[in-house]
Amino acid sequence: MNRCERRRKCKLFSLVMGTLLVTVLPASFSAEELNDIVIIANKSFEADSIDAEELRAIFLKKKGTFMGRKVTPINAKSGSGIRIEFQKKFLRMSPTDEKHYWEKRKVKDGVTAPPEFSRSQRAVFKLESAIGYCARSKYHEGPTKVLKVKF
Amino acid sequence: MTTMNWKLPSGVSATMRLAIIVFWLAAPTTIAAQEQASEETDEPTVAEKLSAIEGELDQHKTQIKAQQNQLEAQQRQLEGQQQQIDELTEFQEEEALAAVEDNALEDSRLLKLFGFFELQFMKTLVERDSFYHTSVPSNSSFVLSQINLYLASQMTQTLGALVELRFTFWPAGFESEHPFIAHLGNTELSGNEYVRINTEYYDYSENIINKTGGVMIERAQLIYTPLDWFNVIAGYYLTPYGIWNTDHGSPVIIPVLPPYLQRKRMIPLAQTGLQVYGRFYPRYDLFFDYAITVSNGRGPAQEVLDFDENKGVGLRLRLSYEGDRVAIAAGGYGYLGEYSDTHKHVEMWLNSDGSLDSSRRMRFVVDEWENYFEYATAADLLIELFGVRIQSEFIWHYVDYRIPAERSDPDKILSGAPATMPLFQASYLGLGYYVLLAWTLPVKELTGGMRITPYFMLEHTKMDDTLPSYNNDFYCGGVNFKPSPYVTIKTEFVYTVPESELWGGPLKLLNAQLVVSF
Repeated sequence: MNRCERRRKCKLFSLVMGTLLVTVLPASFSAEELNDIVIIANKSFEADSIDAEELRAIFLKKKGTFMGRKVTPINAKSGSGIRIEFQKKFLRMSPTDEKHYWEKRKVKDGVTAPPEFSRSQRAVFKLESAIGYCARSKYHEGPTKVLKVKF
Repeated sequence: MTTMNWKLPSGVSATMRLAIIVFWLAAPTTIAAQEQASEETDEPTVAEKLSAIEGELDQHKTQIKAQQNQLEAQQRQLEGQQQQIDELTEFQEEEALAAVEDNALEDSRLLKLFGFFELQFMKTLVERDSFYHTSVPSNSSFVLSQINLYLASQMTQTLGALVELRFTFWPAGFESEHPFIAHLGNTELSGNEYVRINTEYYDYSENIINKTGGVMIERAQLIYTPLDWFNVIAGYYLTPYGIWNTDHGSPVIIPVLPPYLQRKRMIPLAQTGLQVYGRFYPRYDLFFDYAITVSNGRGPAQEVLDFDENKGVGLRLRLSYEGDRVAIAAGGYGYLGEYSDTHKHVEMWLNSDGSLDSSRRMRFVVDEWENYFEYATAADLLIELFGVRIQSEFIWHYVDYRIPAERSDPDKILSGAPATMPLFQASYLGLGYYVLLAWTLPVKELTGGMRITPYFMLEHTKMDDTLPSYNNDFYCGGVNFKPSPYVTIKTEFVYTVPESELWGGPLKLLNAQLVVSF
């Protein structure tokens, strides 16, 4: 392999690696982000997974039961990073959109937004019918169960 | 003379070496003198002295090292104590937060208060003597007509309560009766008195004249929700028909002025009784809703009394798809009810001396005063596509009189009948529809989340096919602006074209409204 060939191969390698950096890295970053939220439920629920649309319907109070039982959604504090992430990924709303939504529901049906807790896992643990979410880094193994979200 | 040919022992630190060298350089004469003296007096040599100094230095070094060790131990102890304090503080903070959150968990089930109020500005653009002024203000006016307060509570997982009260300054200022002057040839017929409700009273405690307002109960209901597909409302509830009536409040409704079919209550806006409702999920974004209503129906005091045994019944069905940017919903409501108005009198028998004949039972007789059956069907359609909203409702309403009531004077006059003759209401058919087109401009990103929604609405109503003077077409255009989720500002122009010429042309109205949610 002469020097010229080596140079060409080097260029090719750089191009491939560059392309990979541009395309693969953001994708893996998104996947990592998605894993940052853990959907948790009180241990009294038998389910191990939940449909993403059902989760959305529960957190928007369009649906009041899960696995045939009454369910209480628990939100993270408004404006927190995890809440914004949840709004974006699962409710598919911006924080303002969600505020508009709950103002509308209040006037129409007298229904208010789910209660907010800074440590939602504790609330989910304490309330038998609760379902919530938290950051993976803040999740403590044991008191609650993790629900796998089916998209 | 002893030469200075000696070496420092290994292990002596550089500082110590430096000290020794300085000591050696600074005191050569002293050493020489000492050497001389020591030779003479047999005293310790320099080497011995140095050795002694080195010994002392070693001792100091050992002491310093011991002190360093001691300091390090104390440092470790302090760090340990600090860690304990930190852990304790964190624990206390966590416990305090947990206590607050535990309370919040409990509080979330307790009473919640929220609501909205609205300030409206109305300006009619018609002649000052227009007949329209019987129902709209003669002069431009700010109207603070409603403050709605919601009291909501979720007592248990399945049991909730909701009360919505409307506080209003009305009926103060309401003109409940207008006198009339009718010209019949050279004769003038007149009747009625001018009556404007005055709610003033003298408050002795403050020695001031005050004015009372009114409180309306918009809804008061117990809500039992054991399952998604089976829930019960008991109390005074909003009739689950259409879009306008269920959207209910001005923060949600896009225009200012409701359509005629809503204002004229072609279907009762609220009913007292029971409602069973539920939802099925063919998919989690596709909902099939139903509601069955049983109530007093319509009546002179429908909220608290039914003047017949026939209950008003209704059935609501609705299918809706609610996607992210696309939502489609179609629904219908059928209603059947009996309206009865009764008057009552006491009947008794007397003896010849005027005393009560105790041998015969006294009677409390109910006289049927007015009675009709009504049948109503409502259909609604809502399409939301990328910010564009198309909303439409249609109502068909048939009233079948069994005992007709006498028409009111304005109705009598507007029907074209002789004013001096009694005229009774005939069975009638009414219908109406409206279409609302609104577009929330895609400028949320530019305006920091503010929503600007221009809209246009048209309506056609035929309230009573035996009284065409009330038929009209209604056009309305305006802008709904939401600078925040809690504030709504609306401005609109309304143009109503009556079918009858008795009204003297179209009604033009400017409306503005500020709505604040809290």
